Amino acid sequence: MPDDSEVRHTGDEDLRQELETKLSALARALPDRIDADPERVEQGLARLVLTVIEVVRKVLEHQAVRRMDGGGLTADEVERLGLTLLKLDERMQQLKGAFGLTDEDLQIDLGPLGRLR
Amino acid sequence: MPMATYLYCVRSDPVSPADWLAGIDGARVRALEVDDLIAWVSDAGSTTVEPTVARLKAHDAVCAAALESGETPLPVRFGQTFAEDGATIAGIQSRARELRARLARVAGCVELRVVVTIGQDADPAPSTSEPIDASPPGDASSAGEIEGPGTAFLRRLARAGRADLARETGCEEVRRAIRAAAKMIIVDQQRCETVRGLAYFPVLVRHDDVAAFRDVVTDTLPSQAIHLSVLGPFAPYSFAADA
Amino acid sequence: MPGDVVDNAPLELSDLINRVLDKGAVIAGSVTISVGDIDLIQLDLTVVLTAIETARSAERRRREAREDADGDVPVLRPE
Repeated sequence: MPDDSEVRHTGDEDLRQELETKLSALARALPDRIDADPERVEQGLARLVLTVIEVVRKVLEHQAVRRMDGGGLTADEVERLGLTLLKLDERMQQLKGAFGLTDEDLQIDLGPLGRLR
Repeated sequence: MPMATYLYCVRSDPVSPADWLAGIDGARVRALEVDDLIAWVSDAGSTTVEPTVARLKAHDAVCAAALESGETPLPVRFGQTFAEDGATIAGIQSRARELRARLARVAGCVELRVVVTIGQDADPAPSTSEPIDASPPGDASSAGEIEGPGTAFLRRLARAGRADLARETGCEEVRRAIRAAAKMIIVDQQRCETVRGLAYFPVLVRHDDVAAFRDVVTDTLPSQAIHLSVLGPFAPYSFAADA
Repeated sequence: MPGDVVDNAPLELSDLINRVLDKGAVIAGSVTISVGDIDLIQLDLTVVLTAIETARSAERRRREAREDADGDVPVLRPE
């Protein structure tokens, strides 16, 4: 049975690999140029930053679940890790909401689910 | 406010959009000559075009009209804008060789998307917008302990992850079956993707083989729990970018 | 089939986003950033729920319709 430090080491390697893969994919998906119009550059950069945070956040969530399932965390550690990610998720939904867009069409399409925040 | 040019698609045959064709924000779609290629474009208010449902639909409608009107066009991704027509032409020229190669690859073909829905999903995709209770009723462990919200969150992510994996595995099995059955009509295809709650894979088939492909899918009944939809035909979005 | 259009609307919306936002040639100029599930459109999560819910009920209706049909085109019953 691997001791805690071994489990963590393997976990860190998984984390590093997944970050590398996902961030490479993001880099490939980025446009050659970002609009440098002074009126828009701030929003463009903000969206870029949020996207990078989201990519990293998804990886962290995925790795956290793997560690939890792998049994390498105590119940306390699971709760603390989960809470951190939960708060980060809530915060990101708020920030994304500021950039998100609602649309009249959307209300119709969602039907029974009601209004979108 | 500076105008900009919004790009929808690039085609190899000299066909112009119909007068009535409206694009992003109702702007009229027009043809732009780029050497031997034709780009369908419209005027936009600025180089930043935020995605809304209406605009996504408009973009798609223009590419669909282009598909119907002659040779298969190469659709571009939503949001491709340039400062003005000249910049658009220059941009397309800088990639002309690639674009011609891709146009040749999709000539005479259309994209169909097979959507695989597994009817017995354990849980819907993660809804982190659900209200979090300190003690969600369904998550109490067998020992009777109340789970903290952090743990509940991770457990929900875990369930969603397993659901995604099941969806993707199921989709790949379907894809293998359909690939075997439709070998002669599938010009190209890609691996399954599970994204935004959809598990699907795209195929490229000749325009005349659409009905035959639908028949193959109808005849492929993996199990009662798996439902298949064929969406399309579309302009070949999935086959327009780098593999 | 007309009934399917009503059923499939959220599915088609989800597909529309995947297709038009994630795919398509990227030539130059400004582009909307979207990588897989990650983008900055708030509509995501709710669309996902709707798509799955609708797919499930469509599946159920199809099964029910198949059981009823005598070879006629099944008429979708309203929920």
